[in-house]
Amino acid sequence: MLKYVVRRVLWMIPTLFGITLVCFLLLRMANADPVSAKLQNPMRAQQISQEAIAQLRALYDLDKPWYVQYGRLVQRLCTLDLGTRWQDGRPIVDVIAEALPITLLLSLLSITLAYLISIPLGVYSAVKQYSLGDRVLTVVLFVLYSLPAFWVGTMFIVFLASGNFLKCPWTADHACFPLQGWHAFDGFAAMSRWQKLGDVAWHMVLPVVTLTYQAFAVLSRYMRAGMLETLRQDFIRTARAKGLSERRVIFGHALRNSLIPIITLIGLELPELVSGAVIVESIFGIRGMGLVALEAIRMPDYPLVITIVAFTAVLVMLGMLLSDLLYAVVDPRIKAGEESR
Amino acid sequence: MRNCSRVCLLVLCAVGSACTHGKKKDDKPAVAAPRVVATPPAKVEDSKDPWLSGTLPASEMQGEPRSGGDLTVGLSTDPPSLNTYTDSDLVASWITGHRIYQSLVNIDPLDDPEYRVVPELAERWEISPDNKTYTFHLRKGVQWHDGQPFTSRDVIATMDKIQDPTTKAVHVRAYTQELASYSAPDDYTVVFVWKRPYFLTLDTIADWSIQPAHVIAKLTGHQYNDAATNPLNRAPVGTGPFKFVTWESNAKIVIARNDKYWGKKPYLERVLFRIQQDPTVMLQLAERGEIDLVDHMTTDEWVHLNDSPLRNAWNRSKFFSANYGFIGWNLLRPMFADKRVRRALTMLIDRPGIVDKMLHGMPMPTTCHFYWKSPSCDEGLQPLPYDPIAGAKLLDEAGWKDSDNDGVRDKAGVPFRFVFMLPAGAVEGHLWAAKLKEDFDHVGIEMEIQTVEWSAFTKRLTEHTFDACTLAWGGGPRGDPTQIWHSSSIKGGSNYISYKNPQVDKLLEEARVTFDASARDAMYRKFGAILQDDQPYTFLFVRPELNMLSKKIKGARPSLMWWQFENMWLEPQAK
Repeated sequence: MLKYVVRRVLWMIPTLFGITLVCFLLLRMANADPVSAKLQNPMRAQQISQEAIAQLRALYDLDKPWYVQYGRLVQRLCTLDLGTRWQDGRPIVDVIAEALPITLLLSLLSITLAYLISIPLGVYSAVKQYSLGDRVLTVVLFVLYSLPAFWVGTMFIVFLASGNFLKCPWTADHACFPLQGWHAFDGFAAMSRWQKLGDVAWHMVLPVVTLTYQAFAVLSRYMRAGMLETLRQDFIRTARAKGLSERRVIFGHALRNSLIPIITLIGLELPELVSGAVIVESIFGIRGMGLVALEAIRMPDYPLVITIVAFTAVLVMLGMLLSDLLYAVVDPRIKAGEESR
Repeated sequence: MRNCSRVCLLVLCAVGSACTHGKKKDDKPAVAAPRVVATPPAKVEDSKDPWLSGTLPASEMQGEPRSGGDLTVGLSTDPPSLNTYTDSDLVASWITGHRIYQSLVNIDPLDDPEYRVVPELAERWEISPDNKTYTFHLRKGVQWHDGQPFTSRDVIATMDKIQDPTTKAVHVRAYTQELASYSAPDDYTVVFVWKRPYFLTLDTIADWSIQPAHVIAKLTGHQYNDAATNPLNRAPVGTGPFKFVTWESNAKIVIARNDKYWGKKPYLERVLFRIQQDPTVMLQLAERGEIDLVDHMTTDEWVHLNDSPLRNAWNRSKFFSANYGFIGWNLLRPMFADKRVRRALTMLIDRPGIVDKMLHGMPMPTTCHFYWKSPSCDEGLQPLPYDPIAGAKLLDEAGWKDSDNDGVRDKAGVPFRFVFMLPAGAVEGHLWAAKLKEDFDHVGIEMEIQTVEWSAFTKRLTEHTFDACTLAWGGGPRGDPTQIWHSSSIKGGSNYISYKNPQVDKLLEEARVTFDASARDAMYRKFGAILQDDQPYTFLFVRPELNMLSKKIKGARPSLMWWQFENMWLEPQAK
């Protein structure tokens, strides 16, 4: 088991290089010029001095061949000397430390909510298979699954947050939900702890719902399938034959066994926790990792993009490893490593 | 939108893109502005309704100013830093210039259209008879926001940082190349000696924000550039009427009244800049009253709001600043070398039609290189009329005839074919370029439209490898056209079309050292007449700056120098 884990972890290193290299080459091929983006003024820069451009190029390693540039990036990544964001010269560590908690909050809320709702839904669909409830639920979930988040988010803003349709007369502008951000625009710092909590919760409602509703369909389908399969197993028949109540059969025996696929999915959710949701973040103006990454790519800010990609890649790989290990933990019949060799 | 406003900082602005600002005032040597020739086609309903015409009602200036209150301003971009010496950024200069930081002198922002130079940190100054030595006597008793006293050491420290080749102040350093020396004989006197006299010297000095020596003097050039070692980059400390409070990246910047300010204190308690990239959300925030001033709207947004209920709670301001769009003909190309051809092309372009039918009648026609209200523009200079028949005749005269009957004019075996280069993202530009192509087609000129990414676009401009292009210049109240029109600027300057006219060269050189404004204006008017005759550019139009202000804002007046929060106050509104 330990050998297996070590081998997997060692394999991550070349994989990580591969990922960052591909990402770097894609950025290079886009042929965008971060220096002119930075100077914002190629015209004036030209009138003034080519030397300024050369200076900036040297600062960003852009004057060197691609392999040297990539080598420097990797070197900085390995020594954790991340440097500063080109856009505003702030340390990358600070930028990420600012965006990461917001993203974590948003995605943790969303994932928790998704699991809390889809597990009972899946159980219901499996137990009452082909009933009217199951069919209606299936249709509703697939409709939800098919609605694009950017549209739903925009509709939320127009109908729930604008104050023109759904009205909450007790608020100053009759709007029920805030339009933008994850906390009040002004005066947040002066609030008491409970006021802050309430304010953030109020701001999080629409983004979290937008981020979550699509996951219901996927998760509850997995749950339903797992449950159906378990219910056909011999030990369930045994349990029923023992005279256990249907309630205990389902929640005591079947549920636990059918959780396997769902639990392993958690491992795959890990990268989503930190990579952020670009669409939801941009619609609701929440400055999480998604927007930071998007801005970095636009520049393109090579060190920041590579940092975020590497960070996410490591989490994806760890997530995969975790879900493989979870299989073994949840189901003792799977002995990771031994079987595969 | 973000990219667009970035492009505008270039001073050069893609015509027809949503950009409306181009009034960065530290571009004097580079740029200037135009003058209207024909009065804009004022529509009847426009002139009566201030909401449609974008005039702030006179009542907004009246009333007893009240102290207190917060004003929230919507901005579309977050500045890279608040240090305009390390990052040349329009938004940063709006927020800090003469507001947080101050300069030795200021350009009176409400003195439209003269924009005279007035004292700021210097109480008075003397200029030597040869116009080379400027002696400034500094104001006494001025305090930095952190309590330290302001002295000539601060001026010297700032100049040191501008001149230090290791700082990122390259964009400012260019203007100091003409500076022979600077010194501080005592705590309250500063002397600048210039190599040559230049009429824009004071305007240049008005752009130099003075930074505190006790913060920057000990920093090396690299430390000065880096936000981690230079606190001023994220949290400026100045002497101005407002002091910096906080900056949340990409969300908000807050400044507050400086209660220890040496001059007239502002009425507003705080000004909050809310950064919102999405223009739709910006309008929703405005509707909810979360923003009091929407800055730089696009034409489409403006027209869209014509019948909006927002008019009950908001005023709109339409202001023609110092900018103009144009089509530049590369004079190195054989067909554009002939002045008759260029005049013909101008006459073939239906400029009034484009303004009315495609641009909602918003822009204003122009023929002038300078700020349209400035006396450097000749009001009597009308744009060449739209006259396709006369245009075609001129082409015949110039020898461009369809001799081989293939539907395209030619001369000496060269067909009249050219590529019209447009920067990517210039939406409105594409709209009218298509019409241009069609119109040219009717008279036997083949024009191909080519969209080019901005960085490639500028590269081709400086290398003179294009046929025709469209662009805009923006500038301040005064300008020196040398950078754009002098033949010495073909190489390394902004004379992309390679315009060379000895008469113009001589006029521009003389104007640089002419300190009598009316004599200089006369020269510039003569220069304008030559341009009109030569038509190296087809001058298009001045775009308006479109803003929306809550009715509770009083004392607001549009200016080339952006909004003057120092003079604004808030009227409590019954809701």
